[in-house]
Amino acid sequence: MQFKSVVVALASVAAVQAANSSNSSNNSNKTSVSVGAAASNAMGAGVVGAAVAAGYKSCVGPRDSVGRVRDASKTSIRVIPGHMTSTRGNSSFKKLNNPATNFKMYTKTHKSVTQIGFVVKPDSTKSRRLNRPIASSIHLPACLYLSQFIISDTIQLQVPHQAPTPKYPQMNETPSIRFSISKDTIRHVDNTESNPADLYSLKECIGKGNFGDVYRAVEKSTRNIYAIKVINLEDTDDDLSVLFQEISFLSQLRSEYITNYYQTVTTDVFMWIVMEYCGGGSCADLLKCHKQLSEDVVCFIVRDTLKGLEYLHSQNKIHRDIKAANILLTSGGLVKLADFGVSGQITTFNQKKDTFVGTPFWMAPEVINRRSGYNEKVDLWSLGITAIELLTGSPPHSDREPMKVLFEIPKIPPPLLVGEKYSELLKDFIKCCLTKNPKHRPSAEELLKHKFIRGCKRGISLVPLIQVKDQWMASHRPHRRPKYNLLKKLYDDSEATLRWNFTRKPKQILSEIYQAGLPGRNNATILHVDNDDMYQLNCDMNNTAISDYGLSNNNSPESDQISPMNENYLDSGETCLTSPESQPSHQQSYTKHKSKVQAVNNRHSPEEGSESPTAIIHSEEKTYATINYIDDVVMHCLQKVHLRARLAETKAVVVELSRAIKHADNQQPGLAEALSEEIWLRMVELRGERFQAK
Amino acid sequence: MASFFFKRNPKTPSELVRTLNEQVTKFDTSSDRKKLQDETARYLNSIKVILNGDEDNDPQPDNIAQLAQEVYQTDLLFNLIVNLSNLEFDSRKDVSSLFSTLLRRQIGNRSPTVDYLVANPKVLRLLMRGPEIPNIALITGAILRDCIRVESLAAILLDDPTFWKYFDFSKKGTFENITDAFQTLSDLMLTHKQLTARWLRKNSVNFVRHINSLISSNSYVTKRQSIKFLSQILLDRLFREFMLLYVDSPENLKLVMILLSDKSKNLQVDSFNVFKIFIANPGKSKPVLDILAKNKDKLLQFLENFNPADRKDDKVFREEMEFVIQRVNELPRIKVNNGNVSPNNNPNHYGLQGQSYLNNNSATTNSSNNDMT
Repeated sequence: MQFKSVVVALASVAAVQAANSSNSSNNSNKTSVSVGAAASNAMGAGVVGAAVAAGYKSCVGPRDSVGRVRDASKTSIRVIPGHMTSTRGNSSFKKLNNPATNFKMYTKTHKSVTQIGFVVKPDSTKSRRLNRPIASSIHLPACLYLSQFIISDTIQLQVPHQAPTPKYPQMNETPSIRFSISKDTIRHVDNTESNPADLYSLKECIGKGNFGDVYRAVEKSTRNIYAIKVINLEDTDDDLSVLFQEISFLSQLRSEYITNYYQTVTTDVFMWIVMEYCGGGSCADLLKCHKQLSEDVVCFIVRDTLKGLEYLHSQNKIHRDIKAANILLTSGGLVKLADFGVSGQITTFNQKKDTFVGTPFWMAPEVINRRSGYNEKVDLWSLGITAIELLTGSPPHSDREPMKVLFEIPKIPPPLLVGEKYSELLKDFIKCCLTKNPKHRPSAEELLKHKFIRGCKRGISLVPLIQVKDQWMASHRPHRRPKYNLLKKLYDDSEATLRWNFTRKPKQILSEIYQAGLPGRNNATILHVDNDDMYQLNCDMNNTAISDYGLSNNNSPESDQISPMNENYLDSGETCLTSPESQPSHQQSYTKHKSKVQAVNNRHSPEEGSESPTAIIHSEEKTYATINYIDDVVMHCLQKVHLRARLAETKAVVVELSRAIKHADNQQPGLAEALSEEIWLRMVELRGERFQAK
Repeated sequence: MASFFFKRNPKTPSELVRTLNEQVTKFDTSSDRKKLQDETARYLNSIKVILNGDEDNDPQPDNIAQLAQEVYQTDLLFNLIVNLSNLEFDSRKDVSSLFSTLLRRQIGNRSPTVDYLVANPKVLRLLMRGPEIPNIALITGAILRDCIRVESLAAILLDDPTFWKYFDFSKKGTFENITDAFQTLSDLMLTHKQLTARWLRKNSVNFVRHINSLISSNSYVTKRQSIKFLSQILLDRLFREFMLLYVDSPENLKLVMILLSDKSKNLQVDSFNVFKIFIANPGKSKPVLDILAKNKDKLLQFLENFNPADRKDDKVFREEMEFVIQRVNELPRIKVNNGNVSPNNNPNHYGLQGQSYLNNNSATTNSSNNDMT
């Protein structure tokens, strides 16, 4: 695909930003933006938005008023096909034109959200269809509004030049087409090619569990922040496919009310699950600092949690573990449901052996009974308990022994919220959630229509609460230590615990077997060796050998281009390297090898001198551990020849020959060994007396 | 009631399907992609309501029948899959649920959707190629696994040449797509075992080549999934014929032994489950016997120390281990002083048979073997 790059150095972006920042001061945080929007132009739809690998290239990230680095990951860019989308609210709408290119820009500010849109017309397109603009917009969430920030970099748009959309059967489509901010955030990275440590740098541990630890991490290419769960797969001895199915499922969930999945990468025996990062911590953190939350704030949190639950339930997903600690907040004060799916799955994974882990305060009675199974309604019970937790600082019965409570929950009447300070609507809402019979308990959808939720006040912001909490946490939060050691890899030095007696190295065997299964190979050498082919090769080999003998008899191996070998080459301690590039290391390795050869001779010549050359070979093999024939013998010799070569051309020929032999040996492993043996045998045959005399 | 539905959208189910089909096929030519996406999303939603009902309405069998009939006639399923990547993220999931609802629908013993898919294998073939487009692979994978439950459909899928690509799809791509492709692969082979047994009779060589390629991969995940899968196949009575073929090959044995010596306990346990078959096989081939005999001491040493923590109480595992150790003990001993095994054990291997010294030597090896036994 041919890309036409539209590079727009946009001072205008900065200008727009400055204009939009209501309290623009002389804060000089330089935040650069680099937008790589590969907009693919699709025939089929006229306009296709594109893969947006967008992110703020900034080590700093936008800062909030306190000066802390804010969550830059929430800043992303979306490409919307065809036209601007968001039109709600009375927003100011500006239009900017850059006549130099077919590039138009719009910005819109609505409340605390700034949206920058740009329309790129692919020029030089004759097709009417292709003349349609490609529009994009940048979505800047609330947290950026708080900061004054200057965009000083360029925006780069890549527009494919007249690339028609391949229809499905051709299967050549650009790998990812993404449209909106939270709905298409999954990366399509080739898992086999990437080492997670190259992609992300792990920062501090932000949580831990039975399954593994959670880290804050920065994606190196974009500087975006993510939360990464690191899971040791070697610790889970169950069938992994259950876990993997769960991850696949997770990757198909996208909602602004949940922490979205980004990607999974593996290294060694570890799996890194990359998720959206919530810089504002959890509601449990909020409670630690503020002890209790006001009814309005709780209403806001509960409403958005309900929306998250509504989404999960629509996807046939039960959260199973709703509590304040699992309701996360972004630094911009958005509420996101976390810890569903994988982590839950993994906890059940590892907890099979333990009888019970976790506290049952949030559990619905039917979960504990387990007689008739349970459905998604359990989450709404837990939500009711969570609401009480948020209002009072702790769930009901939390002062008692968890295991006792566990057995009591199904028996005792549901907890009630009492107290003058709470509104009747709130009490009724909680009563609805805490209906013991799940059939009578309303669904998330129904609860969203409850008057308490509908009466949620506008303009509630969690940001001030979060900021106070952050300051408080800075002095109170104990440093979280990861439970697992990340550095301890299973395959740090070698793969194997022991070495078998095989002809070839395990690596060679593996690579050969691996190669055989690659597409395009249709030979069936692994299970059955085709004897006819083998016979053919056999004949060829014999023929070659014969003609080679003929050649070597007629021609001296010493050519003009290669310096002659000293007569005493093998016998003397001196090497005869005529090439100026000769290196001591080569000499050394050679000497080592040579002394080995001498040792063989010394040992075997006296008693086995009269035996056939074959005997020497085999006794040598029995005494000497693995000789890597291709590397230690053939390639070694060719290297020597290479050193002896005087001319560059000669060297080139030697290199070519090495490659050919290497290739041949890959194709027919053992070839180098056979060749070495033959040369050895022939040398012994021709100069045998001298060898053995030594 | 249905009347509620008609108020919102004055279309009969078959009209709805026809309109949706028209919209979907417009993706090729239309200019306003977003509008099309919105439209298809809306129609797919209405279809979902017909099929599954909603809060106030239960699904109506008549409406469903009408809808299904029209779906087959318009080739809607095919058109939806062709344009799957053009649809919105959530619409793709609606397609998947439409598919699975229709698949489950039965009239007496007949399943009209299965009949349609058998008559129109192009739909299945297209689905098989799903992993070629990363962002729809999980959707097509889910649909395929729904289809695999039906034997007649699994038969078509298994015979599709694209099936071989699933070994490759299980190696390359995003983590989700890799594991999903492998799931499809393993479901396809393990769901209808009679079918697989017949298939293996024709395809054993190719299958071994492909599965070995997965097992020899560098990725821990791939290794673990594929060796486990292989052991499931080999230990199944229905695949006995294939198993005998498999344990005949020294290459297979070497691969399994390499995995047996892996540092990962899980891989060791999984490959032990394959290794024990080689040991238990009463008619070991000469090359297999040679390799085992040559590694006798190392094997004994390894097996005696092989005691995964979580298998201590596993009676079956202990018995199997005892059995394997006993059989290894009974192997002839070939003295190998070093890690280097002479090439002459397999004179065919280098294509050098016929050289006098090689012949001499293999003869001696043979006689020494006989002495031992």
